Amino acid sequence: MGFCLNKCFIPMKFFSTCLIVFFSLQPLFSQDFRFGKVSKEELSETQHPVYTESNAAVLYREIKTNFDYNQDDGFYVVTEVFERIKIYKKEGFDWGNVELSLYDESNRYKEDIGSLKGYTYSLADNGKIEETKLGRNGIFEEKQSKYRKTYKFAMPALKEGCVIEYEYTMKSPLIGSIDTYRFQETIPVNKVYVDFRTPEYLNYKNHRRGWIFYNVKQDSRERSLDYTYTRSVLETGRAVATNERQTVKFKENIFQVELKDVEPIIEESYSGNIDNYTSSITFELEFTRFPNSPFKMYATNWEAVTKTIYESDEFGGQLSKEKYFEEDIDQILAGVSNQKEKAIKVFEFVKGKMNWNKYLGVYCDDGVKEAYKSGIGSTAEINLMLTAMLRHAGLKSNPILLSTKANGIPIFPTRSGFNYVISSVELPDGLLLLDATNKNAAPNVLDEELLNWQGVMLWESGASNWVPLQTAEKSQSAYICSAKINENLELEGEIKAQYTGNRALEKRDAFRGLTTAEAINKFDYKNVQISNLEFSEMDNPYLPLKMASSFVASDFVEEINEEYYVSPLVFLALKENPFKLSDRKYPVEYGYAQLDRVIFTIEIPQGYQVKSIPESTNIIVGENEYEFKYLLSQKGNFIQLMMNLGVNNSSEAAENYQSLKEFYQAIVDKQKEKIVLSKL
Amino acid sequence: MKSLLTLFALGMLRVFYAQEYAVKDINPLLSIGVNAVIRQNDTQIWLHDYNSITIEDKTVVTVFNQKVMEDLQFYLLYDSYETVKDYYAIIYNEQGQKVKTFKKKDFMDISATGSSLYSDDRAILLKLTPTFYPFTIEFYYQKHTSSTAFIPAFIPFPYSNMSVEEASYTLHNEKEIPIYSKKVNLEDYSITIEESPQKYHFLAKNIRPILSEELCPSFWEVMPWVRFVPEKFQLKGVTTQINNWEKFAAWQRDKLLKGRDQLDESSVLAINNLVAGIEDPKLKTKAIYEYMQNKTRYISVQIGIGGWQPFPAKEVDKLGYGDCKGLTNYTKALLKTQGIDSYYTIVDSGPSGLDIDENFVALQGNHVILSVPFEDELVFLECTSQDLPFNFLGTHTDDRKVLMITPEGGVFKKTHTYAPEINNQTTTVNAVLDADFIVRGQVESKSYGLKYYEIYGIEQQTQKDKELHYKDKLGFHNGLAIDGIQFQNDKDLVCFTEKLNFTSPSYITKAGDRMLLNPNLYSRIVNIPKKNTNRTLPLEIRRGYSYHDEVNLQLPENYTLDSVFEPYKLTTDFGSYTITVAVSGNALTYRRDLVLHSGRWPKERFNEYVDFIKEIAKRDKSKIVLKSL
Repeated sequence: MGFCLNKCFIPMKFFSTCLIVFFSLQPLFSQDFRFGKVSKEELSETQHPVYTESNAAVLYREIKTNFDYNQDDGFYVVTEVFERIKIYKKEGFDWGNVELSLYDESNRYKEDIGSLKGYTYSLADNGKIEETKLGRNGIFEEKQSKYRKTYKFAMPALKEGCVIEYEYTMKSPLIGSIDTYRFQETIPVNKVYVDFRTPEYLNYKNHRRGWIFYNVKQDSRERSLDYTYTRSVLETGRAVATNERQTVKFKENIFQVELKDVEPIIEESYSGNIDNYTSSITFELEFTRFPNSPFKMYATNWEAVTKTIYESDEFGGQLSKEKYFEEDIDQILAGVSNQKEKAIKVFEFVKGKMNWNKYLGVYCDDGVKEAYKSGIGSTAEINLMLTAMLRHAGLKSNPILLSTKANGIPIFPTRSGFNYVISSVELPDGLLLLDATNKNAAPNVLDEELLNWQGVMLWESGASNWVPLQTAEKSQSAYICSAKINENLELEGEIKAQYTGNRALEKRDAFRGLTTAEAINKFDYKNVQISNLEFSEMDNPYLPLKMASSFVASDFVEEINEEYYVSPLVFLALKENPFKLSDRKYPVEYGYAQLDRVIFTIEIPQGYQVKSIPESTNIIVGENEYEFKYLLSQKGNFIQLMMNLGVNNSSEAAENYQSLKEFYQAIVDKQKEKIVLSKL
Repeated sequence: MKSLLTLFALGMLRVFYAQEYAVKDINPLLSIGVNAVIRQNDTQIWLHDYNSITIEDKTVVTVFNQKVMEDLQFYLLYDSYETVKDYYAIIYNEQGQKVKTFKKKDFMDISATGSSLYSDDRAILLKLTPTFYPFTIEFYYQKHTSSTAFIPAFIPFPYSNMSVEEASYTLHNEKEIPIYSKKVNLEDYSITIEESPQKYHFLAKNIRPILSEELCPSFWEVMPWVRFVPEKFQLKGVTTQINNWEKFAAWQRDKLLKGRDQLDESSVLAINNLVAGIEDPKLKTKAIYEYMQNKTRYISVQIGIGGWQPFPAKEVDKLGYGDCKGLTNYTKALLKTQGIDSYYTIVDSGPSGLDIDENFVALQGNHVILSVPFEDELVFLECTSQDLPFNFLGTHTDDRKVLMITPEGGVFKKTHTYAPEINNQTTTVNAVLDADFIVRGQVESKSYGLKYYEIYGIEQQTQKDKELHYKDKLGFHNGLAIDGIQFQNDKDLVCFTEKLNFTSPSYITKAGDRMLLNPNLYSRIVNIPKKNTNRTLPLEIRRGYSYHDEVNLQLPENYTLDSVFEPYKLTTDFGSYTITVAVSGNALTYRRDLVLHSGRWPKERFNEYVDFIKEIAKRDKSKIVLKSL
């Protein structure tokens, strides 16, 4: 063990008052972090001393991993987990329902949970500690899919103020993918301890996440391991199996992390994937070096990671296959010489022929050939096939690995860091990024879910380099509207809109294939009745998407004292500031750079004149990073409004949150100002 | 010769089938404006005996585009009492020619736990990636089970966005065992019915989709459907014969509940101590209910007959959790220790839950609560909630017929109805408009009845979420700052009080030298239903509410009132609305009274209702004009 959890031997009375104040973040009582040693102090605590609103807290989490060996399976991972959780409020009861997802391929190859033990403790009215054991009837195992099962347990007798404890051991043959150990949760973690021990034959690298600093203490020791193995011996001409025991001695590397008083992580809007910011450590298998065996590299740096991926049959191997499509592609490209035209022809061919089965991943399942035959494929199959075809067409085409937003940002080199493949083609006028899984896709317009961090381009030579996924061009929407005020004080008019880039892709994904009635329902402008809705270029992603419709907006003109007060932007105004919180810790993620433009013309009704119109304004933040232009003018019988709202960054650092919030406030305020029309 | 003929006939048959699902054969009246047409849904059910049933189902759908695939799913559910005999799917092209067959190995077998912690239900699912459109898919399965309590129902329109060419349903009652049926809305949809003791047959043909509409009655009230239940049936291995509510109650009592209300002596003692000194049995009940609420949490575990039978009270007592059945039965057991009778009560839950139908003797509903009779009233207890007030039901179980399992038999009662005057929110705002155009003020708002139910959960949210709630609710105040949020939860009165201070920096609209100010600082109607000239379903508003607002506003010295709107009153069948402004010196008082009635009105009156709401929304924004001196 070597790690004393009960460090605080000094009785309370020796503490001076000032020490208590100084250490106010520490519990005011000594804690014994051995299973079953829950104290009355822990049980009688009614709220967390620092995060008083928390409905629960991890008092102590201990995760200890080491490796055992048997002859059949070789080394396997043994992880002991121990948690002590305090529940302050009913809303924290969910922490008493635990779910563990386990790999479960076959009897031989699966993860197992053993020695599960759980207790719930609470203080009885007589001041005694009551404990309730987690029984068999509270433990469930459920087969989820061919490869996964779920192990669940529900801690008994939870009440406000109780403390739960559970421990279990997980055995796993998956030495190449060890779970991430989390130090941070949505509730405070008072103390967490990780002890990771690995035989010298298996070399692990560790990788950290989150903004909380911690040390990884490294050490090593000698370890001996007894194991039994079966040996065939020739006895009087017959092979007989005998069991023999053997002891091996080796060095064991030790990694330890201890963290105290970890603040809870709170999810805020526009923050992408919160796991990117959660404090944790991951151990990644770097290489194995067994006695009398060659050194085997797993992953050390991004080059090695990409190389491993590239060299596998399910990736690189798929790129070299050509026969299955040769004839079709040659036919499509007959007579085409322009490189860009070639690329588009091939891209459209794959988009049309292939249907994405919604599977992600960088490796092929059934392989490109099978996928081509059935017309159904995964991300990797479709885009690797596309790459092979583009190469066959004589173009410089390479696959690009990336990680989707849901998969998080891989801040360290790991094979599981990537879960998506796109294709690219290098043309004289620049690089085209291609994703043929989406029927609405256009070159250089990737789904927002893919616009995460950067991608890695893999060259035929085996080399690789990082490439940005965002394109320089802004996604735009442009509205041209004209309206007049009818006798019911409604604004009645026509709207024409045009969308490009991701703005167009989003609309196509949402509206393509809907009936007109369904599409009208989908436009949820408040208090606006849409009719004659028509889209054009819905099926041609190479052109801007166009929308036209008539509208009657019922809530934007008010009559007071025989004067009309008109909201100039009508339903296109930003109603509320999207940023409501007073501060935030994570960046704001827009996804992509964008520009929204509106030209709105309102006819002045007969017998009325303009009494006042809002002053024009132009707000620029930073070096043109954010721009809001709002120009109003009267032109004869019309009032014309021109608005531009541009965001040049795809994300914004948390420290600029305040100015961003103010920028949006200024927009909302300005857009609320009314045009006043008075009777002639 | 004979065999040749047969072969020839078979060949003919193939040709015939090949053309059956051609897309061009769909009546354009059905295919126009929809993205999928159910060509055929044929359900054949063979009730071999009270404990043996075979279900065969074939669904054929023509799909026109990718979008609609988000709604379509091909799966079948089963559990350990069911044997899945066969299942497959076939894809046909536009011409109706078979192009692909999915066999058993192409399906996935997954667990169908849903929101339960554990359930032994499973599903066989086809994950389909179409490679062309339009296409037609035929999905077939056959299963056999000993559970006859839930014979699949006839639901001809499972999807609200697809037309139906033909939906048929046949129940073969092979032994002519007595069987009960419930038929709903069949006459409204010209459905052919053929009935005999051996066979029940229903056929619906050529029907356009019936879209769900805003504020319409629940699906089950307006759609056609039929359910059957045999008099003698088996449920997860348990056999029962029921032909009236007495027998139904006896079954529940003697087979599912009996012996499950035992408690350990120590637990009985704890309850004795708890109620020591309390005389009034209703107050005892209240103390026990609150004890149960503090001790337990809701967890759903459904295994075998356990889907219909509560966990024993002893076990719930020990584990501190259970599902609705377990927690209700447990509370019943706790009350019994004090000689207080209570009844396990079956209800159809949810905001649009139905009455338990007295005329259809069968397992209905999806939830249980506890009824406790007292001389002056029948008390209802929702045992799955850890914080609802005693004898208070929210929209989850209010105002509907429920079935109490009493020793005398099944007894029908109606749960509490909350009238608009009970579902009240009364708000007082005191605010000051400064010379710097900032509005600062305090709000005190009291919510009763179902308004209480809407808001009381906020108490448990984090400070951040509390603030966000008000910033969202008061979205028409931009840049709103909120502090001093305080709540008082009076469970005895069922009254929830919210108090807060606010600063609204840009509430005032400027127009030239004047300022526009809406004195309605807190309550506004923001959601207006959209008008519909082709409305097909009645307007239903299930619950009524009432609101009273009073805003006292102090105006800045250097401004005068330029204009104030006239008092306004609107009274319709849907409710009533009054606003007034009273000015005294530099202060004004705004009052707003709104009553929204519950009721059901014919579809023709829907747009009238929209106008009513629109008018209120407009008047809610009535402004006064201030002019600088």
